[in-house]
Amino acid sequence: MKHPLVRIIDDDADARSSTSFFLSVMGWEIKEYESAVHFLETDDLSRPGCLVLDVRMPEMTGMELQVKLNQKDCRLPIIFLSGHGDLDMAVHALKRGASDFLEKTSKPERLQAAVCKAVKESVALTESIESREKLKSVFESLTPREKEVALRVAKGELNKVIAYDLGISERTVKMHRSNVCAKLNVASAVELAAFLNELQVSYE
Amino acid sequence: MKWSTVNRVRKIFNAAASVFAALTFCTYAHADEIKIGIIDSFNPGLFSETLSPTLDYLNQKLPQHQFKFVPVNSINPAEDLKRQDVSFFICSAGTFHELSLLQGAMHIATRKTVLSEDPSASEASTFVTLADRKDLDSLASLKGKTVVASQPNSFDGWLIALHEIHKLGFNPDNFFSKALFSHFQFPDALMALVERKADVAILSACLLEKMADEGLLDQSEFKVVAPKSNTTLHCAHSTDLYPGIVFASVEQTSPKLAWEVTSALISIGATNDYEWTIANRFSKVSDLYRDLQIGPYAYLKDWSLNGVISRFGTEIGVAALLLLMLIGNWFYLRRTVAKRTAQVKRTLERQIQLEKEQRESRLRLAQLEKFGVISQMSGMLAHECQQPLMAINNYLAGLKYHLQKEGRSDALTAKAISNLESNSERIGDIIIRVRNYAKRKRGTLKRCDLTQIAESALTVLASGQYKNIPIKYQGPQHAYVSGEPLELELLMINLMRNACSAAESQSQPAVSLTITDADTDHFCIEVEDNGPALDDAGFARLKSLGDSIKPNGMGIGLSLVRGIADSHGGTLEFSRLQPNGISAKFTIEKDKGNEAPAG
Repeated sequence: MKHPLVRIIDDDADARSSTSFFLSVMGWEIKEYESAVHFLETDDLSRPGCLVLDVRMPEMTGMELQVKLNQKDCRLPIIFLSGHGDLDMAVHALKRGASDFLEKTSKPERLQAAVCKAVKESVALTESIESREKLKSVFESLTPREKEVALRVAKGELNKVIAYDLGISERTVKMHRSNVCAKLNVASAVELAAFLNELQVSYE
Repeated sequence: MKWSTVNRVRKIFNAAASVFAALTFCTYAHADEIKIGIIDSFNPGLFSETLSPTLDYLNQKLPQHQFKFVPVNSINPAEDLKRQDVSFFICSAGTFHELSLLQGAMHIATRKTVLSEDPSASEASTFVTLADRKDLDSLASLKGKTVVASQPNSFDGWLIALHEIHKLGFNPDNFFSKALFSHFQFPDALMALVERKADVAILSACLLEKMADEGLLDQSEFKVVAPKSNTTLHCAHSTDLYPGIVFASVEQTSPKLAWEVTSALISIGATNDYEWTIANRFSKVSDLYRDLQIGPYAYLKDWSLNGVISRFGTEIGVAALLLLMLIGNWFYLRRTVAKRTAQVKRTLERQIQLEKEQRESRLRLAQLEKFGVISQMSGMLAHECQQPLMAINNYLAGLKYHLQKEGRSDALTAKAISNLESNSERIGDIIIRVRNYAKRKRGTLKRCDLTQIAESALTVLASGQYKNIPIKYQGPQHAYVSGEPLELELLMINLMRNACSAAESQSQPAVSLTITDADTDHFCIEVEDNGPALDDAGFARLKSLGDSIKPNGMGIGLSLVRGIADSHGGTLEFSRLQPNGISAKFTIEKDKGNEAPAG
C-alpha cells in the first residue's frame, strides 16, 4: 500500500505553508495545492490520506471540489477549514460526506486529530479494497474446473454429487478440492465458504 | 244725532223694506213674465225713486210683457241669474262690469241722476266722519282707523272707496284697522259713527245730502273727508266718479226684447230724479276691479291652492320641473360623489396598503442587506485575521512539537511558547466574538418556493431605482428549495440590480430573470443583461468580486450574494454573453422532500 498523503488545498500561501509546516512536524507526508483545479489536474487520487480543504477559493470553492470528487467516486476524506464558522455550510458539507469541518481559529491539535482520524479511515478503506483485490487475484488463479468445484463445495455439496453433476470421477473431484484448499489456504468446506463470502463471489 | 231723528230714519227704512218685500211677492203672479233681477243692495230710496217707476213704465209701455223684479243673490249673481231664468237685471256698474266679462251681459241703459252731468260719472263714495273729528282731514289720516260700510260687495258704498285708497298707494286690505258692515248705509252706518263704534263711514255719494234734504239728519254733525271738487257730480264725494246703475240684459235675451226694453227705457226721459241713458266709459270700473283684484280679477287675490295653480299653473309646472331636476341632479351628484368617493377611498386604501407593503419590504430588505453587509464585513475581517492567526498557531504548534521531538525544549522556550499560545487563543476568541456580534439571527433553512421569491424580488425592483428597466421573467409554477426566503430574495435582487446597473447605459436596456432546471436535482436561477461588453480585465474583476471576499466598495453586493450562495450550498457562476452582456447563474439543490407546497 502507498504511504498516506495529506493534501493541503488553500489559495492563501501563508495559511497553506503554515499548515504544511505543522502537519509535517507531526510526521505527515504533505502535498500543497494553491487551487482546487490544480489539485484535480495533478493529484494521484488513488493514494490514501486526506484533504485539508479551504472553503473559499477563487475559481472553484472547496464545496464545489467536494461535489466534483463525489461525482468521480473518489473516497478521499475531506477536512474543511472555514474562516466563517458557518453552520449551514458545515451541515451541507457534512451531509455530502465530509470527514470534518473545522474553523481556522481552532487549535492545530484539533486539525492533527482530524487528520489522524481521516487518514486512518482512508488507510482502512484502501486496505480493505486492496485485501479484497488480493483475495480476488488468488481466486482468479484457480482453473475454471477448480472454481466450479470450490463453489459447489462451499455450498456443502457432496463429492459424489459434484462428480455426477460434472461427469467426472469422485477421485478427480477430491484432487481438485485439495488443490483449491492448498491454493486458497483454507482447511475445510466452512473456511472455503467464508473466503468466498468475503470475496462476495456468487455461488450460482 | 238726536233720537227723534233716528226714529224717523227707522220709519223710512221700514217703508223701503216693505216695498222690496212687495216686489218679491209679485214674482209668483204670472208664468210668461219677464224677470228683471235686482242685484246688489241699493239704498232704500232707490226702489221708490227709480226702480218702481221704471217697472211701472215698462209694464205700461210694453203691455205684451209682464215685467217683474226678482232679487238676485249678490254673492254669486251669475249662477242665480241663470237659475232664476232672468232676462234683465239692474245692478251697479261694478257688478255689471263683472257680469259682462263673465257672462256676456249686455248694457241696455245706465241711470244718470239729476245730480250728475254724465252717466259714466254719476257714482262715487264719500268718506264721512263726525264733524268734530279734526284729526281726520285727509284720506291718509284714516289709516288704522275703524271703518263702517254697508256691504263688502257694495260698489259705491265700499269698492270705489277702497279703490281710492289703493290709488293713494295704500294696501286697501290692511288700510283700516277694522271694518264693520252694517248692511244699510243709513241709518246703521251713520249710527255707528255717532255711537263712535267707527271712526269713518263710507257712504254712496249724495246720500248724505239726500238724507239731509229729507230732514233725516243734521248735515252739520258730519263732514266729508277729502271732498273732491268737480262740477260733474253735484254732491260731496271723496273719490273719482264711476258710471251709474246699469240696466242690462243677459246673453240669452232675444235682441228684439232687448231693443224693445232699451227703447222703452230711453223713452222714459228725465224725471225729477233720474233718467235712463247710455254710458260708454266702463274702463274705470275695469281698472277698479283689477286694482282691487276682485270680481274677474279675484283670482289675483286667490292664494288658495286651486287659485294659485290656475294662475301660475305654467310657472309652477316649470318651477316644479326645475325643482325636480335639481333634486334629481342633487341625488345624482350625491350618488356620483359617493361612488367616486368610495372609488377614491378604495384606490387610496390600496395605494396605502401597497406603499405600506413596499415600505415594509424595502425596510426588511434594507435591514437584511445591512445585516448582510455587516456580517459580510465582519466575516471578511474575521477571515482576513484568521489566516495569519492560523499561520501563527500552526507555526507555534509545529515549533513546539518539533522542539519536543528533538529534545531541545527548555523551561524558557516552553514558557514563551505557552504564552504565545494563550495570547493567540485570546485573539481567536476576540475574532469569534466580533463575528458573532454582527452575525444576524438566521432562520433555519426551510422549504420555500423560488417562484414566489422571484415575484417578490421583482416587486421590490419595480419600485426602486431601476423601475424603468423592464425585467423579463420566466420560471416554473413552483420551484421548491430548502433555504432562507429573505436571503434568496436578497440574492436575486442584488443580481438583478447589478444587471440593471450594467444595462442602464444601453438605449434599450433588457434584463431577464429565468428559473430553470439545471439538472434533475438542481434549479438554476439565471440573470442576464445586455450591458456593455466586458473586456478580460473587467470580467476578471467581476469574477474576483464574486469569488473572493476581499473588500472592495463595489463588491459588497456581490460578496453578499456569494455569501448567501455559499450558505445555501449553491454555486455562483458568471459568464460573458455574445456579443455583450453578462449572465449570472446561481445553482441550488431542489427540495424534493414533498412535492406539495409547504405550509
